[in-house]
This record gives sequence, C-alpha cells and structure tokens, in this order.
Amino acid sequence: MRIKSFILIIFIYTKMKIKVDIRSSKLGILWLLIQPLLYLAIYYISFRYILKSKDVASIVSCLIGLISYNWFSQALNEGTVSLIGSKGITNSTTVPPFIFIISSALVCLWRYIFVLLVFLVFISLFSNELILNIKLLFMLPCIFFNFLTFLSITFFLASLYPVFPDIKHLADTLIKLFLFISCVFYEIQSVPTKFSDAFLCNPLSSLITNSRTIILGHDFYEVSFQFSNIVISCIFLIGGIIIYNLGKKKFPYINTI
Amino acid sequence: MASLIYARNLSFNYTYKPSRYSFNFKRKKVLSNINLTLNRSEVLVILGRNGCGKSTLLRLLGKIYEPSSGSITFLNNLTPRLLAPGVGFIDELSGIENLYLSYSLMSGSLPPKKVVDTIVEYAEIKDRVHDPVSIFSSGMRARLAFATAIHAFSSVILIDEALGAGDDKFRSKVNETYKNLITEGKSFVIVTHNLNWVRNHATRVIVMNEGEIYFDGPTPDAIEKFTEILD
Repeated sequence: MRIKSFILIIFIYTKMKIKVDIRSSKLGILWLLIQPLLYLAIYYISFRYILKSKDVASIVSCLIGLISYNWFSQALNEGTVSLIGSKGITNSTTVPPFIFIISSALVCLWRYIFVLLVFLVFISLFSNELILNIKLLFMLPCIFFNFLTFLSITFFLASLYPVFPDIKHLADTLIKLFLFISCVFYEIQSVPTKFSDAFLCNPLSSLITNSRTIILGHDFYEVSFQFSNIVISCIFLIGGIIIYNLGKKKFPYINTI
Repeated sequence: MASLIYARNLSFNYTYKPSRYSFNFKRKKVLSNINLTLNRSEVLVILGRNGCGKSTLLRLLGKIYEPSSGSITFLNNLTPRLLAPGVGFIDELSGIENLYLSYSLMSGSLPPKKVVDTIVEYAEIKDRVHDPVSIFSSGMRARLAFATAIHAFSSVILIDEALGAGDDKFRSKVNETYKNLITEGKSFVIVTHNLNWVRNHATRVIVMNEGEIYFDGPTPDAIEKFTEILD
C-alpha cells in the first residue's frame, strides 16, 4: 500500500471511530464533558473540603489539569490495546498494524480538543478568569508536541503488549500514579523547588503547566518544557520501532499471541 | 506466458510462547518448501486437512505475512486481495458507513459513487442502507459484507473458505459473479472444503499435507489424493 492509502485509511477509520464514540451511549458525546466534571467534583470536594488541603488549585486550574489527564490516560489505555484490537483487520488485509495506533491516538486527540473548546467557551462566559484572545493559539504547538509524545509512548506500549501482555497492568498503575505526580490538582509552584525540574520532565506536567500558563496567564508557552517532550518521544519511538519490527518479523502471528 | 505469482522454496515459521509463564520462545514450522505458480484466468484451489497451512499460504500470497525464507515474485508488483467479507464492520455504524470503511480497508481507496450504488443494489439492501448494521438480519449483514468484498477486488482474488453467503438466491448470484470474473481474466486462489464447487470450477488443484505440497495437478486426480489423506 502507498502512503496516500495509509492516510486515507487513517482518516476514514478515525472518522468512523469518532462516530462510534458519539453513538455508543444514550448521552453520547456529552459524556466527554460530564466525566471530567464528575471527577472534578469528587477530587475537589475530597481535597479542598474534607482533607482541607491548602495547595489545591482553583476550580478552573483543576479542570484544565483533569482534561489534560483524561487525554493522557485515554491515549495510553486505548492505544496499548489498539494492535490487538485490530487483529481481525490486520490478519485479512495488507493494512499495516501501526495505522491503528495512530488512529487511536487521533480519536483521543479529537476528544481532548472538543472538551477543551467547550470548556474554554463556558469558562469565558461564566468566569472572569479567561478572556478569549489570540494568545490561545499558543495551545496549538503545545498540543502538537504532546500529541507526538503520547503517540510515541503509546506506540512503545502497543508494540510491547502482544509480546508481554503484563505491560497493560503496569501501564494502568502508572497512569493512575500520574494523576498525583502531574500537577492535576495543584500548581507547579506548590512543588518544592528541588523537585520542580524533575516534575516538568513528566510530559503530562508540562502539558498542564503550559495549558494553565496560556489559558489563564495569557502568556507564551514555555518552549524549554518541550525539550523534555522531544527527548521522551525519541526514546519511546526508537524503542517502539525496534519492538514493532522485531514483533512483525519474529511473530507474524503477533495478533494471536 | 509470465506467471502472475511465482513462489520459490517458500517456508514460514512462527514464534510462540509454549506457556503463559515461559520466557523462552519456540519456533513452529507451518510451511516448508512450497513452490507454486499462478497463471492468468486460473482458478487454483488448495485442499487439505485443517491446520495444514492453507490459510497461511493464502496470506503469504496476499502479502499479509512475510515468508521466513524463499521468495514470492508478483508480476508488475500486483497485490492479490484476500476476500474478507465484513472486515472492519462496526455495529454502531450504518450499512453505508460500514461499506465505505470495509471497502477502503480492503482496497486502500474510497469506492466511487457508481461502485457504492452497485454494491447496495447487489446486496439488495437499498431501503435499509442507512440503518445501523446492529439491527440488520444476519442474512442482510452477510450480503452487504460479501457484496462489498467482491467489489473491492484486484486481478488476483484470494478466498479463504468464504465462497458464498446469504440465501440460495444470493449464493447463485455470487457464483454467477465468480464465473463472470473468471471470463474477464481474473485469477483465483481458493481454500475450500466444498468438493462440488471444486469439481465444477477449479482449473487446477493443490493438495497440502503437513505444511507441504502433496499433489499439484488436474482436479479429478487431486480430489482422489485428497480423499486418500482424509482416509
């Protein structure tokens, strides 16, 4: 198959998966908005009012953190099983399996952008914390770099999963851990200075911090954060390509293992 | 005349874990020393017991798997296509959406409007094409799947035990289509256990046994050899 066919298949498959997303429950697309609000209510009430923590960020900051976390967790969870999930197709057609990893990442990206846009409009209507302005366009490179990072991590996990299925359980645990180590409910300023650089090496932290800076601070995004994203992307991408090719050559029945 | 497909000393192994807790991998030989050719307008049938490597050979010929050793040469870089009815079908999508998805997965291109109309007409689902396939009857679903697959063909069609679907009327329509395609000069490689079909349509038959070609020749002799293996 040629590159033109690959792009066409990614487009059609992603489009159809988004339609399935919308039609698969009674409330459909609304769940994408309801879910982060429910999480926000649970965590905000728990930390702010029950545990009386002083370091909890504002509601809008927490919401930005949760939307970013949802993108990260969905991209990794759904992407990890995307190779196995497409075995019916890859065992009957010449469509290369990596197309389904990209498609899965694109579906998650679509959800993130949709939810972010809806909340941006709501926040600007009902709160004085946000004014829609041109600086929001800086979200585009921020989203682009994080998309590449999440795609690389997913590519690595999805390639490893057919050979080492236990990685799914490890990934699940790590994804939950990221909820607490990624400034979702607190600001990076609350983190002791000696740890803050290490925190920003975490791609989710840099996404959240950058999003808050751009959306609430109306400021340019911090380019240096993306450096760690690029390094992480390269490491996972190279690892993923090695495992993917090894798996393809050594395990032609990769989808049935 | 140049062969459309020319396979030389083909073998295929796969690596597997002998048990869930094992960290060692073992290799299993599925095919060895396969030599075959496919010519234009030929209907080549592969017979053999379950697990003898017929479907794997078909996937090697369809460029879905790569051979472990040996080579396959395709005339003018053609890509034979495996007839895969219902590939990519998703219950939440409508008939027409599944048609577009399945066709593009099989052919790597979008179906032209004329082809879409032909498929819908062929599957006899014109009034229901915008309904979700989850509420289709199994016959309707099979007809749509088959009609889409059969219209996403290339010059070589590979069929893995999926010669027909739906009711008798639809099956005879599919058979008629196969005859027309053969007349047009298309070539087929078919894995089937339907000996009646083999007697009526095959131009050449390969009998496989334990990953190797046991017999390659005319239909009556091949059926005799196949019965020998079964006995």
